[in-house]
This record gives sequence, C-alpha cells and structure tokens, in this order.
Amino acid sequence: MWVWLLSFIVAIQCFSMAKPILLADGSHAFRYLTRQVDLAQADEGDVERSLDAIITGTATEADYASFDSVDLAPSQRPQSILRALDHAWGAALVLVGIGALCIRRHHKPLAILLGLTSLWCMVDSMSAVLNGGVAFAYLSPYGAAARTVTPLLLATVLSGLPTCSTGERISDAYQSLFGRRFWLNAFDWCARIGIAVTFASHGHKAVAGDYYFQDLIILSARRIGLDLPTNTTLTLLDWIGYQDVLLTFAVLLTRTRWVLYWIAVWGLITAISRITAMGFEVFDLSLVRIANGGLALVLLAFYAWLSRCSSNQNSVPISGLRFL
Amino acid sequence: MYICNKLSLALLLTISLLCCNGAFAAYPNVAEADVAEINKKITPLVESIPAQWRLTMKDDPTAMATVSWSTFLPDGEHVLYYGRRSSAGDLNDYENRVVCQRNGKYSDEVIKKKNKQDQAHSKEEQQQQEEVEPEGNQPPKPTAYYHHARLSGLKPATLYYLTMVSNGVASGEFHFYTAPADRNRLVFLHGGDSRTGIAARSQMNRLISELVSVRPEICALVHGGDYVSSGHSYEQWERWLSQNELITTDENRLVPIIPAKGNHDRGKLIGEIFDFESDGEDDPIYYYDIQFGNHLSMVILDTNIAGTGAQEAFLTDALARLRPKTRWLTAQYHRPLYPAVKTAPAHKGVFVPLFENYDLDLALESDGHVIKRTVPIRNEQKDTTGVVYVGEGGLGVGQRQPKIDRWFINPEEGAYAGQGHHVMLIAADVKMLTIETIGMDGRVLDESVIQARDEYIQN
Repeated sequence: MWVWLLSFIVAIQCFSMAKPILLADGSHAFRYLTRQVDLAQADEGDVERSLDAIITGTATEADYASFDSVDLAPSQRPQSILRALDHAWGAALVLVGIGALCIRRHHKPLAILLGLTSLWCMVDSMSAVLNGGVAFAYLSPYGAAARTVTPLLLATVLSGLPTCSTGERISDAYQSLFGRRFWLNAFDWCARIGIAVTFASHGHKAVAGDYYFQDLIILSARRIGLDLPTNTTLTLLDWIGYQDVLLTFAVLLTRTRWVLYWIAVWGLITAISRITAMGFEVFDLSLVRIANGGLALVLLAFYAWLSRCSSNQNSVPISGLRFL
Repeated sequence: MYICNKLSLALLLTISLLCCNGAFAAYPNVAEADVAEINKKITPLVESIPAQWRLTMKDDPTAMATVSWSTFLPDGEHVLYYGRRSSAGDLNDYENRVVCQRNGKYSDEVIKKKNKQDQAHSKEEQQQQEEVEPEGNQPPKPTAYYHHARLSGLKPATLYYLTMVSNGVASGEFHFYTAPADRNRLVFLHGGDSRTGIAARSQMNRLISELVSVRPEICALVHGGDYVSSGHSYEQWERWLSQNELITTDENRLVPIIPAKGNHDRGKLIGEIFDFESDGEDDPIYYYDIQFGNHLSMVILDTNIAGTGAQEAFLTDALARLRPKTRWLTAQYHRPLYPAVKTAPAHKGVFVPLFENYDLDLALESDGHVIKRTVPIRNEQKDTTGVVYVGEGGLGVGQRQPKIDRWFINPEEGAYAGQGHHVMLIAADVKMLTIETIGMDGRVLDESVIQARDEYIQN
C-alpha cells in the first residue's frame, strides 16, 4: 500500500513538474542557464566594467570600444540547445512518472532516473534562488524539501537495496530487509526531515505575512462566500505559521499518527488552495505540492506495514517506533 | 496630358495624406547604431556634478513633476531652477527656484548585507582607503546621493526649462513638457524589463530619445519595471541610472517616466530613485493613479504585494472614481495576467474581475520578455467589449519564445505574439487608441487599434 501510494505521489509530482517545462517558460534551471548564456553573449561582465569606468569618469577609448564588440544579434543556438535539453528532461519526467505508476519491481534504471529527479528538484529550487525576483526566493530549496526527497525514497525502494535481487517484488524485498534497521530508519528519517523542512519554511513565510499566502486565503475564502478582511487574514496567517512550526517539531520529535494525519490534511489543503484561489488553469501548482501532505500518508502506511511485519515477526524494525 | 497631370496630382496628394497619417511613418533605426558613441553622452558621476537626471510623473502630470538627479558628493545645497523661459546661462533669469525637498544617500543593501563598512566619499578618504585596502581586495563601490525637487502648480502642455545645481555646480539646461490636458490626443511610450543586456539597453534608450525627437507629442515613458536584476544592488541601479540619461533627446528634452515596480526591483532603492516615500517604517506604496485630464487615466499597480487587501480597495476605488469621467481607462503593472510565456499570478483573480467590471480599455504588462497583444478578453474568452493586454517587456533584456498556442495570443484570432527588443507607441485619440510596437530597427512589428467605448467617448 505504502509503495503504491509513494509511486502515485511521485508520478503526479513528475507530471506536474513536466507541465511548466513543456508548456510554459521552462524550469528554473533552464531560465538560469539561459540568462547566463545571454549575459555571456552580451559580454555583460566586460561591458559592466566599461560602463563603470564611464560613470566614474575614468573611461578610456578602449572602454567605449568594448561596447562595439558586443554581438547584438548573437546566435540563439546555445539557448535552443538548452531549451531542447529542458524539453527532453520534461519528457523524461513524464516517462519517469509513467514508470513510477507502472513498475512495481526492482528496476535500477528507473531508480537512477528517480535519483536524478530528486537531484534535479534540488538544483531547480536552487536555481529559483539564483533567479530571484520572487518574495522569499531564498527559501525555495527548503519549501521544496518534501518533493525533493519523495523520488529519492521511491528510488531506494526500486534500487533493490543490498539484499534484494532484481525482479523480486518490492514488498517481498522489504520483507527481506526486515531487521535492516539502517535502511528503514533512513527511509523514515528522510521522509520526516523532508516534511519538517517544508513545513518550517512555509511557517516562516506565513508568520512573515507572505503576500502570496494572503491572496490564496482571501481568494479561496471568496469561493465559499466568505469575505475575509486583511487583518483577519494576517492574524490567520500568523496562526498558520505557528501551526506549521509546531508540526515541524512534532514530526521530527514524535511518530504520532494524528500529527501525520494533520500534516496530510493540511498539506493537501494548502496545495489545493492554488486551485481554489486561481482556478484549474494552475492545477500543476497544486499537484506539484502533493508530497507536502502525501508524504505523511506514505509514512502512515509505511508505519502500518511495519507494525504488521512486527507483529508477524515479533520484532520492531525501527528503533523507538511507537504510535501515540 | 491634362488627365495624366490630374492623376499625378491625386496620387501625390494621397501619398502625402497617408504620410501625414503615419501610414509610412519611418521610425529611427538604432539597431546598427554605434553604442560607443551613444554612451559618450553619459555624464560621469563625480564630485558635485548633477548626473543621472530623470523626471518622474505621478499624481497629476499636467501640473506636477519630480526632477531628480544624483551627485557623488553630498555637500552643499541642491537646487532646481526652472521656468518657462530659457535662462541662456543666467540662473537668475529663471522664474522659479526650488530647494530639493528630499535628499539622501542611496542605500546599498548588498554592501550592508556583506557587513562592509560605509565608504569614504571625499577624495582624501578614498585615497586613504585605497592605501589600507590589501591588494586584490577591491573596496565596495561607494554609493552616491539622490536629490528630488518636487514641482507643482505647473501649467498643462507647457514647456519648462530647468537647470539642476548642486553645491554651486550647475548642469546644462534641460527642458520638458508637462502633460497636455488636451481632450483630443495623448501619446506615450510603454516598455519594461531593462534589467540585463547593457549594450541593448543603451540602444533602446537611444531609440526612445529619437522617437521623442521625431514624435514630440510623446509625453512620457510608461515603464513596467524590472529596471535591474537585483533591486537591492546599488551598483546595478547606478548603471541603469546613468544609461537612463540616454532617453534625453539631443535637444536636452527630458522624457518623463511613469514607473511601476517589477519583481526584481525589491529593496529600498526604487523608492529612492523615483521618489516613493513611506510615512512610517513600512515600505512605500507603489500603486497609484495618474490622470491626463478626462482623456486618459492610468492605474499603476504593484504585483509584488498582495492583490487583495489595501491594493484591491485602492483599485476598486480608483476604477469607480475614474471610469465614469474618463474616455480611456488603462492600467499598468509588472506581472502579466494573461502571460505569453509564464503562468498568471494570484493577482489575476483580483484585478481581472475589476478590470472587466469597470470596462478597462488597455492593460500594460511586462515581465515575460516577449512581445504580446492579446485579443480583447472578457469572462475568459474573446469578446470585443473586453480588455486588451499588451507588452511583456523588451527594453534590453534577452527575449523568450512566446507560447502562441495560448488562445488569447493566437494570431489567427487577431492577436500578436513575437520576440525582440521593443517599445510600444500608444496614441489615444478621441475615437480610437492605436498601439504600435516598434523594434530596435525602427520597424513597426505590430499595429492595432482599439475603438473607444460609446458610453465614455463624450467624456
């Protein structure tokens, strides 16, 4: 069940990450690299130095001449190549998503692609920081922590961990892993840290009164006929922020079922708020956040599975695993 | 023979008429211009020499303007002399003298962030600083000083001459026109996104300057924001400010700017540059409206803050106030609500219903780095009574590929989407508003017309 749920979440996430790449302005990484190419083609570094010399009144003829060496209609080939690569990666994400949905056996190539997807999530969110231009852009890698670890978790499942042989059913493989605390603990902790980091960054933004969250709340409330005043919304945002921080600590310090349910419900509500506020045209913004709440559901199913295994084999695979 | 002569005359007359109507209007071509020569017009920012001058219009552009400039040194008094007569070098000949109401040092949040010490501004101190700085460790660039002279009580469509004086050092003489209260015609430029492409930025500024020279009725440049990549960086703003001098015409005519805030223009500097001031500790407010008599009004919005709350209240009030008495109602903001490349921001859910409710005629957008003109839109579909969204920015920044499969920019439906550095020339007449998209080479890339709404044409 938990493997199925994890696969489903990864698939949805991959499809929704592919949408802006294939149908909109591309990934953050693509935009960052394209801008670097643009700047390099425009000799921006040299030109900046020359312009600085003009401004400080120390320019020589060479400084002025440096502007004439700028290719004003540079070849767009590097940008086209980057766009093609970005599109190829978008298409690969769709395939990874399909693979995640269809493949239930150990599959190293897919595991490698999932690992790359995780890595790409990290690189892409860091590119968002470099691109800037968005409030709290510096928090992007933290906000995307849950969606970054999710493909990695599935990759560990599909990679046929040390004792699993290729072609073995995943549930059997994990059964065989029973007792290998390191891997099970690692899975558990990765998921929890991913959730915690995401909720901490969202909590910080909420307490800081992120205008985007404010719009999401007010516009969503209007869908059900509620006209929330700004002050009420800001107070609400404060409470939401504190709640997120509370959940951050709760998920890190405890393995409590109701905390995970709470995270699952709240994570999914906040993800869906993009649609309720802005309509179905931005469905990908909601779906790409499916891991924020979905990962908690995976953990719940994972713990349930572990509990069943424990009762079958009379042992506890994860140290300190207790449900409150 | 007689018939031939008659025909020739008729042909000549027709051609003359078409030329007068602008059908064959040839705009300046700066694509091949010598950028080095263009940049030689930039005034060095040294000592107390007034440089980086700019004219900002907010509130009532027929009667008010803010003249701003920078100096490297803060010393002395900063005064603007102005009047309707040229002084011919004698400052006493000007009718008016105003001491700058707001002066200060440009913030550099990047330097502050790095915990760098404030830099010395006198030559001696600089020299000392250079001596103690270890080799290879360049000191951060010292920030200059801004000066804002706020003018009011001006007469509409009037030529004013001015000279900026800082610590006794006078600039050359410049002039500007206040906006017309003319009820028949208003012409302005719109562009955005000049944050990268420094050489192209010089060219586009030169294009604006030459456009104003050949079309003197142009009353302002409506700038959609993203002036620089990092609004916190004084270094980037300093370059932008110096290059912005290039929009001044060869005859020393200042081109007023009506500014909007872009998503890259965060930080305090934009407020220091365009004289946006806050009452308390909060950030200044970057949304406002501007009225050219009853002929045209523009609401400038800020897509960097919540669309709901105070901004929504302002927009509702402004549209309700302006629509009944205005012939042409327009809006300007940075992030596109019907984007040709990106996805729409949450502001769409707030702004679009209000735009449609109050029959906005034209929305000016930036941010996408493409050229765009949508079909008129109402209720998420093409509707001749709807709002036309144009722009997306090309004052220097590298251009992207528009997604022409989006229904609102589908060329088959009469919309336009393309790429290339550009500026839009918008002429609002009594019955129609013409939008020409002009490329760096002076070619008109797109031309379209919006007919005035019957219910407001008499305003």
